Amino acid sequence: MVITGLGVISPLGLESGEFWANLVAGRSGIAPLESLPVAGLRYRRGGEVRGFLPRREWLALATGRCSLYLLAAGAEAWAGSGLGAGGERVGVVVASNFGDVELVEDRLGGRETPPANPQPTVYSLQPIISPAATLAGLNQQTLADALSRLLGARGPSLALSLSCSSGGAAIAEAFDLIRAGRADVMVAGGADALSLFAWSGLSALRAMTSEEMRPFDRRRSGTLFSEGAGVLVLEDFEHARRRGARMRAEMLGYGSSNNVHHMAAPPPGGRGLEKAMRAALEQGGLAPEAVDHINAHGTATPGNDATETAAIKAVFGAHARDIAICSIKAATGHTMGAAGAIEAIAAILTLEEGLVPPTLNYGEPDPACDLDYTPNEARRRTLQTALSNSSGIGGNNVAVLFRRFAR
Amino acid sequence: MNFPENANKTACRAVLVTGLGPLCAAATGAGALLAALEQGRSGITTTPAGRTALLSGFSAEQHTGSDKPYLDRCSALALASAKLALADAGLAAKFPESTRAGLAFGSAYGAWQTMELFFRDVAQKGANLARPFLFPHAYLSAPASLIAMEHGLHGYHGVPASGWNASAHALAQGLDQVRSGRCELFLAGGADAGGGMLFEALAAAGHFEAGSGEKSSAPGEGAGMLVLEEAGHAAQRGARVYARLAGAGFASGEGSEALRRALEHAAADAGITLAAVDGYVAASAGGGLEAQENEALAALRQDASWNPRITRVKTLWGETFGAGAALAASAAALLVSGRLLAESVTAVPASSSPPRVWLVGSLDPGGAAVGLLFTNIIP
Repeated sequence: MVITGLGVISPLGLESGEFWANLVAGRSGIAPLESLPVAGLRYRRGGEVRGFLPRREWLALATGRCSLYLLAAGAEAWAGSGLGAGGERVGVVVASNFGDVELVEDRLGGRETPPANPQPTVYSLQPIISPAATLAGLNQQTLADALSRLLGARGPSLALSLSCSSGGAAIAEAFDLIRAGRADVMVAGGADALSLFAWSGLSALRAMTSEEMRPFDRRRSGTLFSEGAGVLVLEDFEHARRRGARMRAEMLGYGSSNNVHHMAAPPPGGRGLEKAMRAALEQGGLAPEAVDHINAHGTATPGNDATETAAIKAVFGAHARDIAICSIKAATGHTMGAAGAIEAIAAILTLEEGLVPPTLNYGEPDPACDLDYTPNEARRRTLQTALSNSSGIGGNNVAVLFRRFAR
Repeated sequence: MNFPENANKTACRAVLVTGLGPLCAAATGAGALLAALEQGRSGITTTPAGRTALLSGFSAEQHTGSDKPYLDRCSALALASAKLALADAGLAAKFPESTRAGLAFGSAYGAWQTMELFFRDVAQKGANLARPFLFPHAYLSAPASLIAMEHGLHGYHGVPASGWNASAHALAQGLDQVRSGRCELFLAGGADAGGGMLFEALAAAGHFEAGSGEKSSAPGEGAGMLVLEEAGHAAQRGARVYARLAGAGFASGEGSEALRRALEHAAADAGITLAAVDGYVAASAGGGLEAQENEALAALRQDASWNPRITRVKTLWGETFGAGAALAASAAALLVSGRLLAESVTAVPASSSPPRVWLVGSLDPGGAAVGLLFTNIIP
């Protein structure tokens, strides 16, 4: 199984090249929110997609901003894959936490007057989207339908929703569908958009911080949410080889688990994530010592980063200290259902470029987080394999495993 | 008839259905479902506002083992159905910690009632005064997380949100996970809660008509969790077997054409052709979807000479969206098991030979389709 296309839209850039350049340069997409009506809310900084001008064909298919981001990232991934036409052997699997939830906000009367903002972002984008029923905001299959139509994909068209492990789960599902012979090509990814509903809820959970986001740092006090989409084209190796495709990486396997612990808190020791990482290694046929890089979930909450570190140490033992780990969330913000896909893309680009993106805002080591997190500056490394971890509310975990493609 | 074990690239283990947990307006539990199907007993009620199929007397406390301070209705239906399925399979309510037991729970609309509740808090009281405990329960994945916690399902965790195909997608995930050897036991299915804002939105989108007549489908609610088990695991514990889930197929595009291909793929996935399939549990019960489904069946009749016996079980419990395919699959499992005689099921013509292979169709209004193949031919 190989990856032949990548597409990203995020607060760090509107396509994958811009995203990667900003990421390794150590830039952050976190800023005071301009377009979400956050007056009176506890937290007012996050990551917004800015400067995004959707194409007419996307607007015709989308029902909200989340689907627009998905279509933008999907179009980039598809164009990069060099696949011209969709067809019956091409499928789509997409995942999101909240989909186009602003349509439900409309129904419930929660929408405030959009602030005067010349940028076509967040709420100010809405007027140019054709009016749609509340139903589309409740049904995430509409995202998959829109991307399938854009690409002319007539194979499986599926949606998933696994909170913040959604993006990783979509990649895992695509892997299974191709392995099972149900498709030759799967376009897989995650997307989410900032909304008053999501922001209010995540704020209520007290998982956010008013300060900088500092993954794995002793001073870490919470995460900052953002928006975007990440889409990958997964392809059966023989199919890709026959058409002479550019193979960006191999996908070796994945692991999926549930913590069976608590709706919102990670378990001590990170047992659930440990199981997911072990399952990915087992499926990929890799020994723990063969893993060079981990793109961590790394949310900068006190609970996640310590338990993720414990899980990594449990799986990799002494080798954990040799692994180049990073959390890109201090740069991108936590893009919710898109995070697993965007971070998997970052892991693939890391393997391609031999350059590990930095964990920003890192300054004070925490005894509970005592591994190499690539602090503050990107670092060159010879890398062959990478894991990308995702966890979510409800205790879902997904780990996806990639190998640098050997030409 | 031959079911080659390697029809699917990852296929090497037979996947058996050993427990059913149907919960819908017509029945609670496998025995009641069997009776409802035998007697053609409908759970659809007619009011001046129209026909609906809601579980009016449902109470989560009757089914869930532990005390829950808050449950969304979709989560409550899901938990109750999971418990019914595990009990029907004769399995313990709590599994030991292992990644060999997995879960896939699908829903089209998820915990929309809690989403509404939380957002009304935000709109009326302000975000800072909204009840924080509501928010984690508003995620579409919340019912799945609650099932995993309730029953100790540590392994594969899938949450399809594929609209009205969500539970068909979940069953296909279970098929692939057990067939590939990653799991030996799997709880798969889906749930959706009805009423209020959802039904208004569905009506506004033209899916149901207010005061609709008998020939139109009725919006409903329900849950259908099934226990899937690797054949060796089931044999080892002497499990009662309803059926074998032998194939799944997916397609998308225009609804009728997508359904036709999905059914063909499901048969091919099981290593057979449609000609070997005896019966078909329909995806629709009226409305626009029925027209698309009839078109697909007509095409298969013409192109593949397929003329199965057809039942439209949703005429008994309405359209249950993300739960629909799992409830239809439960009926298919009863049919191929021989516990339910096809002749007794709605609209199925009599036949001298008992049907052994049934396809279940699932069709989402957006045009995606899934087929699932059940048989009593067990290696």
